[in-house]
Amino acid sequence: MLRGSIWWPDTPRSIAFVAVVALMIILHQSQFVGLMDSTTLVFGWLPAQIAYDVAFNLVGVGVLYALYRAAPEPPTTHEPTRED
Amino acid sequence: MVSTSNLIILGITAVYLVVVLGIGQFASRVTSSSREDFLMADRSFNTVVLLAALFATNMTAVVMIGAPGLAYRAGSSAYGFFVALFAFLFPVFIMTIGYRIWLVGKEFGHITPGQIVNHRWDAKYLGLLLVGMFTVWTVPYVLVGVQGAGITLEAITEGLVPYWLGAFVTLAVVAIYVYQGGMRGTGWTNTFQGAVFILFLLAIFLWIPLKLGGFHEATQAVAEIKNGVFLNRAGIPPFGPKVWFSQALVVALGAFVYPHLFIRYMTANSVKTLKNTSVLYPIAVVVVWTPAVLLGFWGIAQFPDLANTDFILPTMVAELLPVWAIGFALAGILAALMSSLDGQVLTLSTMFSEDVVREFFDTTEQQEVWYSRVFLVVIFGAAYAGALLTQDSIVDTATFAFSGYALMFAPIVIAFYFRRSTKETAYAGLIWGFVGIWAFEFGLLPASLTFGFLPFIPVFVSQLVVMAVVTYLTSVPDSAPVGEYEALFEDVW
Repeated sequence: MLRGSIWWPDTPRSIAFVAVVALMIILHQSQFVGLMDSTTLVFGWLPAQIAYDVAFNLVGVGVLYALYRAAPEPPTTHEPTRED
Repeated sequence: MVSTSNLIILGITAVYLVVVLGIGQFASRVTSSSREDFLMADRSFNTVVLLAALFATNMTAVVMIGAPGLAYRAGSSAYGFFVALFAFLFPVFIMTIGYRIWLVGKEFGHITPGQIVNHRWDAKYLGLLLVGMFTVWTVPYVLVGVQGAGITLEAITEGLVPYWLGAFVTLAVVAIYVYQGGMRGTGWTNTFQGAVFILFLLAIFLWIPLKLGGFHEATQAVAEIKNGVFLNRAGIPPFGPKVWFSQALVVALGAFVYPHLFIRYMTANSVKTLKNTSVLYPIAVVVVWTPAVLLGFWGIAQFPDLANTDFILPTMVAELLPVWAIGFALAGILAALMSSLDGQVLTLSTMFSEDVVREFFDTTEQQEVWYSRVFLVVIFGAAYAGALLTQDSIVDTATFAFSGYALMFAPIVIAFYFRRSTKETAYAGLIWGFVGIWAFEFGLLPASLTFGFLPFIPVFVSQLVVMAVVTYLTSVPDSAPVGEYEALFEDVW
């Protein structure tokens, strides 16, 4: 079950997926990009740390959209019967 | 005391509560008495309702009160500390693990996590253990919501609505619409409530800085305090690299296995709905958490030395905005609290009726829905009694509960990925995690064993080792439906 999943890095696609998730976890540690003691204000009012965190999440949306496009189609036997 | 301003505030709040009740009533008209419909809304939620249900349920008192309070105490890094990694990992989990959970629910008709693990590992009492642990971690969370409502109403009306009455009215409104509309009632009201607190936060995010002279001036006032200590992570103890890393994982893993979210993954009407929700979820987090954190951050300079830091947001609203805005503020805060309470209590009652009554007693479908409603009333009553008695603070309760949930992540998720795992693997993982986190809490294990991380990290790592050992000491019984799960997950993430 794990071997057939996206979490098992045995194809270029799954390797890329696991690598991106790992990279995002590392990038969340903002000390690696020198923000630990930054007093920079983005646009003159937004502290660099929160600007970085918001940008981190917007990049995450891009990653999720790529996943959205790459995800396999669900089995047709489990489609909805009605919608609220 | 009775005053014109208090009457305006209460009037706006009353209108808000009536609208919520109306939506709940409308949902109840299209909800039948079948188990699938009352407990799962017939697995029919579209993207808007599912996103609102997952988001509003997850955004509790923590975002409206806790986030500004944390930023007030520790600065603008509160966002990264609490939600930045969660807002990425949680949707990734929904799109991958959630996909499998949804399929299992659809294929086998399961409703609760307990039913899934019992079926997957051919167990009888594993689901019962899950119910017990989920209850231990969820009940304090329910109390936090009730407490928050009582405290906020009393504070904003300057004592006109006492704590006991505020908590009671809030619980009563939630109880009525959950009792009538079940899952659909919570989903539809969450959509409205989510919109209310998002609009409220965005509005005051623009309005309050204008009252302070502009965004630049509001930030500059904080930057001048102690050489800009609140602008970054340096010098703020919880924001050191090890705790920063621990907290991010705790929130991301813990939130994914919240039972009130887990069950809702299975209410999606299609996998596409789950996928849509995943992509939109981080945007919702950014839209809500950025204002919540920055407002608390700006409050540092404007209202120094608040006795209760959790009250920075209501204080700013009360001091800087006109009285009618305070009414909307109260509605916004109640929206966040109520949209979490409903999901938590409905989930607890669902687990009791499905994993206890249905599993161990002979009942009809109608009786089961009836039992769910009885449990709802009992849980609401217990939550009210608990809220009158509890002394704990909101943040303390929430943070500890997060770790408890996070330590249930691995034992549950392996059901969907590890063919070789057994029910003993899950039992061992659950019990090890539960005992481990309480051992640190009570001081039975020395703090030095955390190596500077939160206690979750050493318990989590050792939990994985224990689960691996137990897996290879036990064997998968022939009666376990491993083949069915393998077939179901073929070509699925």
